[in-house]
Amino acid sequence: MTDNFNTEINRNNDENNIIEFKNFSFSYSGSDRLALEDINLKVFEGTINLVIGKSGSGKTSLLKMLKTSLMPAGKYSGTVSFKGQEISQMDLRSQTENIGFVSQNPDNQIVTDTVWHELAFGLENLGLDNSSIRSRVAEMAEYFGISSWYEKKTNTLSGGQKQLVNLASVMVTRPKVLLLDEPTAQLDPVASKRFLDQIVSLNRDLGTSIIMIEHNLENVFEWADTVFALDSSKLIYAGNKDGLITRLNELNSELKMSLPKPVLVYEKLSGKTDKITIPQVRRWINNEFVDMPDNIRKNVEKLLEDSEAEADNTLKNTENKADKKCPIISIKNLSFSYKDSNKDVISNLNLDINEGEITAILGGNAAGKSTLLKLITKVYKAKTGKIKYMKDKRLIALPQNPLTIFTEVSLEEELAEAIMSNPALYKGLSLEEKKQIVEDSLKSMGLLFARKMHPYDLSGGEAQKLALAKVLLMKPDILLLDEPTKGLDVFFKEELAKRLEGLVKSEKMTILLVTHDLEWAANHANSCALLFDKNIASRDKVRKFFSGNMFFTTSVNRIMSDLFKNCIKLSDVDKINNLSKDW
Amino acid sequence: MNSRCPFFTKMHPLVLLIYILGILIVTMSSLNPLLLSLSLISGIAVLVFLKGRKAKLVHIIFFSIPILIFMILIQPLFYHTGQTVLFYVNESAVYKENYIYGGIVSLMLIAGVVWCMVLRELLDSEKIYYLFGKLSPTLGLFFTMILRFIPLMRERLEQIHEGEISMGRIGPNAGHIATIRNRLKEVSILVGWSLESSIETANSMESRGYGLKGRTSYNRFNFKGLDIGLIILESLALVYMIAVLVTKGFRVYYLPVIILNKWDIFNILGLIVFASFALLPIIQEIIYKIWEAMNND
Repeated sequence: MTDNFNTEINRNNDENNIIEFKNFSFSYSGSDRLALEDINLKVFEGTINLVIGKSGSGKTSLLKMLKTSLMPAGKYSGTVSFKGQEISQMDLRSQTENIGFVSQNPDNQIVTDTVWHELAFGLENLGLDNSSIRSRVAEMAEYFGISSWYEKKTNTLSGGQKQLVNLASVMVTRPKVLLLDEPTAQLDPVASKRFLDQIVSLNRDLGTSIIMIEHNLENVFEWADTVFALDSSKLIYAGNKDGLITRLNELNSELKMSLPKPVLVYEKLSGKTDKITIPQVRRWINNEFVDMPDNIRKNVEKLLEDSEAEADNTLKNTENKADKKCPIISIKNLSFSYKDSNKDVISNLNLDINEGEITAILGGNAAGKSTLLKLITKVYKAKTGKIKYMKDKRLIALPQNPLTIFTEVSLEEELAEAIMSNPALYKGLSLEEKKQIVEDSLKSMGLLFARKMHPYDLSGGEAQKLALAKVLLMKPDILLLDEPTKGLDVFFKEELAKRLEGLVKSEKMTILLVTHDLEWAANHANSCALLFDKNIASRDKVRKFFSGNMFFTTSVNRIMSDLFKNCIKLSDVDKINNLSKDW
Repeated sequence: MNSRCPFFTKMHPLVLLIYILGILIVTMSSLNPLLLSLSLISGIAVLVFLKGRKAKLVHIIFFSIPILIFMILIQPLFYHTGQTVLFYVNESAVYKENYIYGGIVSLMLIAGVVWCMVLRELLDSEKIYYLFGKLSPTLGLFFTMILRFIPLMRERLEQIHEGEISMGRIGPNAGHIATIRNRLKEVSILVGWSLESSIETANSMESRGYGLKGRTSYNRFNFKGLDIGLIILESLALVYMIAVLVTKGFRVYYLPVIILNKWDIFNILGLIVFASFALLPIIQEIIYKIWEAMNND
């Protein structure tokens, strides 16, 4: 009887699991290292599955195994199957009809010039007749809310729109499984939330199974049914969210850092893992700390304030010593509009950038952030107004996309090129010394292992580091960065921050950056400016800037703000936690 | 409103293709001054009708000038046949007939270019894609991919260029050679970047089933009764005009002596057919407007 029961369950399980890895290992050709080691996992039908892991842990390789057209060359052992059939045995047609794939870069996936044609592309390949293509495309366009820009040229769309088109054009073939490789990495926060919401509703409405690599978990974690955690080619966890933190704690894994802030805050303060969204944790905090006397709370707020003020004072002292009152860049009444329109993109903007600080310019989409940066770097000419630069300061901007600056065939040569093309900076140095500079530069970025590699073969984060290294060899006094954290995972973001903070400290560099990334700015910038309605709407030291904002602030602040107005970082929560223990 | 979106442009691409090819064939295979003048005038009329206020007739004058200079002024100096001697250059005669011949050929070329402008107005990329796609789906896809990649490349090149400026690699005062060298470098970055990204594009294509046998070519056009009617009408007119051409009804000799064709009902009717064929978009619009007005009553 019991036996029967068991087999029944097993059979059900087998029917439900749509993808299965069995004892699967893989190594790229030409490499002895296993990229995937002994992977055993099951993906159940109609679930949302997250794959997390540091870069190089094998996430993308894992995903690529599910599509023959993406499978890299190398040695395989074990099996990967879709509904019991081995993936490598599936033909292209059933692959296309069953497994869809959306990758990171919105531009590179678009094949045709118009939206309607892009949507039809997959169906044309399957050889459907005109009228069935028409009805399927219409249905998808309607579902994804893109019918109003159905006629448009693909190159006129925004990044978020492009990515939605990519998703829709994969969904027209009605795949059962949708593979997503960091689909929101290149999108701004609003567009990426919209995209992820769409993914969730796809799953809810159509029952599509989702397997997604995503490093910004804030918007998807709550919807995930299963999480797969990878660490150096091995699967270290497969299961629901609750067990994940326990397991990561057990392993003392850095991966914990990538979990959403509410999860971390809640775990820090309560030691439990059952609440994961901002509203949940916020409610819990309000109940938990409701008895805290006002004076203690004030003390906590003051403490947070003080810790910063101290750092500030030391900064001010050094400033006073050098007797530098005037800002390094001073923008006065700046206005700008594009040639073909009279509408100002920036109007009457005033902003001073202080020397030796990290200043972050924040703002929504199309608020003019990048335009402002281009005005400062003189790519654009101002209509009216002036930008004054301190004398003899070299100003260099790092372009947003690292691929726009790579010219050489190896990392070493890439950096050497920077030295060779700026002979004035490296006068009188012997070849040996120059080589040493390249060596040191690679070392400081942790890229020494890849010195002979082609820059294009680097991961997104590594490419960003190489680009930064190259720009630093041009010895800037003021470094401008456009969305430096775009597409980077938590770990690379931290590394970048450490690098930049180091430059400010050791070389007195001034750093100005525009970013969407509020969390990063809150943790690492000295002061923030909000660009809104063509102008600087507010400008302050970081803590003051974020304190008391309701929406435009970090998620830690959104969780804590009812009780602790100026708690904006995870480290602040630690402090509160220590204090509240005393209390 | 109606000048922006004439009824004719919404016809099936095949209707438009037969129309424009028919006119180009007839125009290009005749040297009859009357026919060519008619072709040029109706070409300009249709162009203005299609483009409305945006029609820039100045352009026609611009490209006409070099044609005229070459055909009328220069060509007779090197081509020596004719009857009426005008003057001598280096002891060779220059004949009047040659000038007239040059003028007529210019007229033909200008009319041809005007009709090509009409073609550009009538057949947008979607229609051309459809027509290519009918020939071969791969060719059609190739066409639409080119249309996709040209603006993408342009965008990328701009990004690269702006990057170079903001890294301080090219100053505003750089010399010509330095600027050219830098531009070349930018192009080489573009090539590398594009090759790299094309791998991802290829992946995206293959994962959506590109390479399967029996690819179709989707289009959003329907054959309506009116389209079929127009195609029949156009074909009949075309057959008649070609018949006139083949029977030398429009034939005119210029060199060495000018011999004009004799006019009879046969070729006069040919001219009328040609004029109404060329003005088809306008005639159709008028009929459509009248029909609409009648239905509204």
